[in-house]
Amino acid sequence: MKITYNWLKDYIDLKVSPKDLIEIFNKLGMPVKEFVDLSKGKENLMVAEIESIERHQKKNNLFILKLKTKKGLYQVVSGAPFLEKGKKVIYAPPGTLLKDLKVDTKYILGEKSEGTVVSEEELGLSDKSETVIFLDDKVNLESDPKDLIGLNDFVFDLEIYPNRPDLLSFIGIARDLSSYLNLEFKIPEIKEIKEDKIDFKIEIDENTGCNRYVGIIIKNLKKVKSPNFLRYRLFLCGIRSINYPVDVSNYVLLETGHPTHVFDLKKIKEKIIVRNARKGENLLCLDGKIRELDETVMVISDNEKVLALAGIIGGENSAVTDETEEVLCESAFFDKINIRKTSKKLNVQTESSYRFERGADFNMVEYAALRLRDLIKELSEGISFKKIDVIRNEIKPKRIFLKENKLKKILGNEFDLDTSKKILERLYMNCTLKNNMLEVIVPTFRRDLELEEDLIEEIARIYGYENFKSEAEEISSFVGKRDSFQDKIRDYFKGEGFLECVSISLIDEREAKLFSEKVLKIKNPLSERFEVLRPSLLPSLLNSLKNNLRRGEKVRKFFEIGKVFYEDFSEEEKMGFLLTNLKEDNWIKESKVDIYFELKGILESFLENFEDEIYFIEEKLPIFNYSTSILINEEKIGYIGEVKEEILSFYDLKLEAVYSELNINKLTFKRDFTFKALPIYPSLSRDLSFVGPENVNASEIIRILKKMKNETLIERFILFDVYKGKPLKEGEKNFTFRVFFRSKDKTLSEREVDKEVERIVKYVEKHVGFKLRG
Amino acid sequence: MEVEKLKEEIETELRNVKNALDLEKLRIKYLGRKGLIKELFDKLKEIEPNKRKELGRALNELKNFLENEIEIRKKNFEIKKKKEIDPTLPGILKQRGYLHVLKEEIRKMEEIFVGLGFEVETGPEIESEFNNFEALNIPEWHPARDMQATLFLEKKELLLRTHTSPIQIRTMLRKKPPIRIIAPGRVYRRDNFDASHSPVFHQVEGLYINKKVSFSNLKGTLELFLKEYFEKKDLIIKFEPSYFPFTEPSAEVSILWETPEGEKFLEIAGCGMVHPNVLQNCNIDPEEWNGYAFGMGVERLVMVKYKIPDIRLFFENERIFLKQFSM
Repeated sequence: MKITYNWLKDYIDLKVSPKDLIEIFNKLGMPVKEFVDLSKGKENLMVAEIESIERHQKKNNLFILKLKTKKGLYQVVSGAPFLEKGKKVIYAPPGTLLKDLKVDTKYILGEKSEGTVVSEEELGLSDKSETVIFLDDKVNLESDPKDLIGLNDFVFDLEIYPNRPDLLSFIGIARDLSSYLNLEFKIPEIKEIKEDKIDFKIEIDENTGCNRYVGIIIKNLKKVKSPNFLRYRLFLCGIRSINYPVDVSNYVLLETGHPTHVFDLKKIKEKIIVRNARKGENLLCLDGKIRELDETVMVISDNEKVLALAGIIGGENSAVTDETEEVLCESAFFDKINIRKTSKKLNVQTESSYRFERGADFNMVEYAALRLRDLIKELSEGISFKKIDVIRNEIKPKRIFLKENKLKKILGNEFDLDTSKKILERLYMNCTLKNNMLEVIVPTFRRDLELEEDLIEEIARIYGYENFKSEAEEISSFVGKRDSFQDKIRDYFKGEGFLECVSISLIDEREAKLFSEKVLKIKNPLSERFEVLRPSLLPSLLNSLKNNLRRGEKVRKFFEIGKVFYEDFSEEEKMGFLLTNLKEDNWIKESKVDIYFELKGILESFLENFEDEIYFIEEKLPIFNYSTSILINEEKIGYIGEVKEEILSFYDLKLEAVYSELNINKLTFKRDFTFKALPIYPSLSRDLSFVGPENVNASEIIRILKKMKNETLIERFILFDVYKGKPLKEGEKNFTFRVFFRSKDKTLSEREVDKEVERIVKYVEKHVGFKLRG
Repeated sequence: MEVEKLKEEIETELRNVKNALDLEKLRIKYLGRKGLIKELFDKLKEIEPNKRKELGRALNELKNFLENEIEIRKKNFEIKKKKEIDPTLPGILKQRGYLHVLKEEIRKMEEIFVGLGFEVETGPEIESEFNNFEALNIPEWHPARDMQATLFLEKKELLLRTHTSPIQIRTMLRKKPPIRIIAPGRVYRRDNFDASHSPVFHQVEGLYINKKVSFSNLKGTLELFLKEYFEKKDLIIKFEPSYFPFTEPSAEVSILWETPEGEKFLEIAGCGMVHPNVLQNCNIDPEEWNGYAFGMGVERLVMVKYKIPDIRLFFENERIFLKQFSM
């Protein structure tokens, strides 16, 4: 809501400066988003009389003006139309700020031009202007032109929260200020006019969202233009001038907060009916768009056609023009939910719908109608007739009881019903003390107040939030708790040299489809870039890699912990790891380590933290050249693989990358930290070479050996050689394991170990078909 | 005597040894498989037994002497070789890791709140309209829905949570009061991606429900947190009236902070006393229990604290940015 300081002073006798007012608005819950001093940079504007005017010799459409001002004569070159000797204009000397640009002395085709003659548009008083501002001939050269056009003023752009529609008006803001500052506020008086009755019917259908409709007819209007002060005030508050009746209707909207509408009476057939639209009806609205209507849309109609979308926007077919001689002024009360639904459905938001959907004041309906009548008559004169007032459903003030214990509980012991009564009365509520309770009658302009908590907020607001003590509660009965599991994992991988990422979890659909055929889409995306939820953390990490490379940062390792999403509307927290073959910036020539096994090794060491049995089983996944799934206790908890080139090339990445994704919530830290006796007897090792078919993976033998750990004296084993080729037969492969044996009861003899080896060999042969080599 | 003569010879030759190669040659000459000392040992058999013992001992001494001398020289040569290395060459650098500033700051916030007796709760990012709006006293046709541009999914009732407040609802529906929790998490808005907006960002939400909770308690607790988080004991904090459908009274919290344009009040959090309708929606009797709630944007706090000018920097994950905030 934009307001100006001087306009506001029409309704309240403010003693505070505009600067101090900012602070007050903030304290009252109307934060000032923007504050503009309209006179800033325009201190030296002067009234000037055109003493002479000559055509520029080198350019036909330019004039050389000699301007007489209180400070002397100035020469200005101007191309503005309608300039004449003797006319009074506003002169801006060099140094003046116009739309943030400084005016200076220039030479235009050889002629000196010191400063300029200003237009409304340059002063920010309208969006376009044909020529410069012409002042009244009688204006004195000594006067400040800013006073004449209302530039000695200030604009406040206030944020008004959705619960306070009463503050969407000058009167409402003045009223709230009056409560806080303990000042009077005043509402313009309605004129006493002798009026005749008129035979004109207004009907409100049942089941519409209209509670009341006031119509006033004015005939024999004079054609007038909106005066400058009216146009300027509206423009400064964000509303463009249309014509006099419409401008005045908007003036009333800003003044009272109550939307009104003006129809050209001659375009209305017989009567006004407020009804729900019929399917198939449509309306060409004042914004130039045709809207298809249905039964849910409340309209204003006459005997044959729809004239307006009730409370939202008028139609072209009944619009007031410069030729209009008779008008119907409408001031009605429409239901907020009805207006909001229609406004959303037909996608039309106006100053009017904005106020109605937040809730209008039933008791402002009549005042707004009369005020509109008075203002139209002020310039257009004409003959007005007695108002037609149809009430379907009256809205009465609400009654709330405030209990002292609730008050003290929330605001503290220093508050009681007496002090609360004083504050609430300042807010124009009627209060009566009744049996330890305060009965509060809430005026109709504060329909946001429904519960005693709402009253408590009002008391706190007027009392001032800054005046409450800061007193943290006693917390001895609470123990704070947080799960540091993820932090431990993050710290671990930071130590492993990984860069942690946090990425936007919305991505482009084409990108997402690289990773999963089925993706979860957003119904109403704002842009293509963020239209689906990521099905994997890999796109996030590849983008991070790309961002780093663009900056010349050759980061090798990335991880991210975050949610991934599936088509069935489920989500899962994952941890993704990306490792690339970028070279470390070293002077040592690195031996080439396969990055797949580098990452796999990192993960194997990490997973050792979890006592459970961990296996890697080959599984072909579409995004990888080769890959394995990772299992804990037979449950799949992730996978690892080498990323396909087609994926990397989507990101324009020319390198190799391996990726792993773990379901970290399936990793549970259930290590038993009870002390276990250290081994006292030595271990014995044997190197066992197994030969078998080359299509069998190492994981199968490893799995068997791990299984045997529990039932044999195997302490641990490592695979230290993989071999294919002579002297093995074609299609054969050899794995050599070094197996360590240990007993916790005694020193093992060679004989005992031989027996264990025999068992292992038999078992391996039975389950995977590998035999001990020679 | 032959052995003594031999020793003298050896000593002379040892003095002439210049490098490891000379040393090795000398070793082969005397101690090699066909070396002189070995030869002498072989000849022992031919000597008469009474002299044999004495000669054998002398030969052994000589052998030990020589082995010892060679060993000492060998070591000296190795040390000399090591001295040729340039010890000032750079170490073999491995890329180091960095943690993300957002996650680390959330960790700090959580730790402060844990110290104040709060328990950390989390919830899903896909939420129901009920948990995200209705239960929080934002009915379907309420204009307050415009305050948070929402991303919906293609299934009725489902959306991406616009704030972390649904975690309050989930907790209150699950637990009996007293409740004292904070809820950090990712939230979504139908917003542009520019210097000050992001369709995805993080919030930390707090909720305290007990028998007697006052507005002063809320002020006190939030002030404790903010002073701790911003590491400034005399931080100036301002509470001003605001509006959230789920709190009544509601307040906007600002802190006085140094910015590139000078000291300014910067909005940092929203808070208020939990609206009785919210408690009722969670089957908590508002006559018996009441409480406060607060919420803040993590990115906003971090941007203020470290004077970061653009929210997008958080999500680009550039090492050159992240390393500035990670130890």
